[in-house]
Amino acid sequence: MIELRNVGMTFEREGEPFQALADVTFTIDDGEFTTIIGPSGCGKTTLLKIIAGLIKPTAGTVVVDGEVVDGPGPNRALVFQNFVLLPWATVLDNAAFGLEARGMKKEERHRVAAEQLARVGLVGFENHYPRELSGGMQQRVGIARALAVDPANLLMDEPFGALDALTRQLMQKDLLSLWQDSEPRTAAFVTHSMDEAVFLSDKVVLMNTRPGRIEEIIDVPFGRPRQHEITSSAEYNEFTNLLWSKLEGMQRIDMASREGEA
Amino acid sequence: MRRHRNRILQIASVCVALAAWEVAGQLGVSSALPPFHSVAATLRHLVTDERFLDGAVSTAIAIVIAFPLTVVAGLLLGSAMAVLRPARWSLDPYLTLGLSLPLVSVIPVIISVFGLGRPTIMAVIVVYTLPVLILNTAAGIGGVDPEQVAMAQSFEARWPLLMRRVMLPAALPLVVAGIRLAAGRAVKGAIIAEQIVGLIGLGGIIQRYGGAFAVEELYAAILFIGVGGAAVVFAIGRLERRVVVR
Repeated sequence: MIELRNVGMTFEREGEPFQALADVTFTIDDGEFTTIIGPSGCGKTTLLKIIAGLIKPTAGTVVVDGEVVDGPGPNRALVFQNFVLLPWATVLDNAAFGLEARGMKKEERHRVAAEQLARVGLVGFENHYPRELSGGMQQRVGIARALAVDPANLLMDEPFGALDALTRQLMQKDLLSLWQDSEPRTAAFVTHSMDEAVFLSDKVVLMNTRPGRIEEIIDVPFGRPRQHEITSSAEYNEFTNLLWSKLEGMQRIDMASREGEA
Repeated sequence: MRRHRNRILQIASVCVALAAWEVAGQLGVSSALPPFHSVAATLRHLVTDERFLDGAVSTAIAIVIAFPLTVVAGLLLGSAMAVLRPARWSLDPYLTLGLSLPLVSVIPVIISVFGLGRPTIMAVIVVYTLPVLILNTAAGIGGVDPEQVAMAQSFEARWPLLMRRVMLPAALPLVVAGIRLAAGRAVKGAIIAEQIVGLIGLGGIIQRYGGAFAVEELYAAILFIGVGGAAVVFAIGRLERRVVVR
């Protein structure tokens, strides 16, 4: 379970204080897949990095599985937008990095990493180097690396943002079935794609900008297990359109207020 | 195929230059330019000459002792500069000075401190190579992708693992390039220092040949140093290609 309590973040930008996040409060229940979505600059990536423990918030607290977050921890693993693989290490060593950081012996961590690579569909690529893989395959390594440490909470920062549309759709499908077929795991997923948010998640956290804050929290009315076919149903499109119009409205108001200032 | 052709071009270029040298020498363009074949013969004679070999060994010893130590010091100081802000700001002025000062003018100062023996040669090697080593190491480690560091931190990687798996491999291309550059400078620095001291090593021998207008011996010694220095740099370049994953 991930609980955010009045989380705020103020940076110093060009000597001026800049409020990136203000009073963010919400909860992600155990085993729930929650998507955080919002216009660019709403602080959604900052929020995820705060949950990961990579950034310390200037106000409020984050509690994960009953423990106050004070840095990265074994109950969380992060999947990065730009994959962030080590180019000088093999696919197997990359997938095993988190286990190596935990001091697991080489043979053991290679066995676990190979299992995870198989789960994400990368059998036979263990001894390849990241540069020999396509973007989608590289992100599969990133996902295997995160799953290998068996985190109770999986954090994903626009993991498919750098991929082409077709690869993206395939990755969404595979992530969903991976999610539904495995033991329950809590997920926080940052995206700016509404389709992706609705297709993958149980709950959508809609964020607004200046300062980054929660606009609305919406439950996704589609059950599980979920198949890709639902994306062509009328209910799905209606729901996605409703969320789109909310997001669009927010962006228009933001643009108008910026014009007013200028 | 292309690499093959480039290699052939390289060899052909050297052959043409040597042939032009031989022709100019035969035509007697200048008394300062003996033909290549007589220089080659002198070189063949020199490499069995005891005094010449003593000089070469003396220079090699100075480099072999001073250079590896300087590499280690450069790696440590460069890493410190990349990671620690106080180290960066306090070392920076000396680095800039070391890179812009004509080091030949510092050599008399070093002689007055270390005398006319090998310690002076080794001190000059240090002064000549340390700035390049520090600068490249600092640039290599400072250029590590902060996202990769964040990735390692997100998995709670400890300091040694972060260094071994992330920082050092990322810095390696620049560090090894720095060592290759510095190796060439080490040879240069040693010879220049020996020439100014005028008593020891290959530099001392060159000074003596020059003073005696022994032109053929002079060319032979220069050729010897050039080929030797190039061989060292080439060897490090080969090593570089083996350890650096691109």
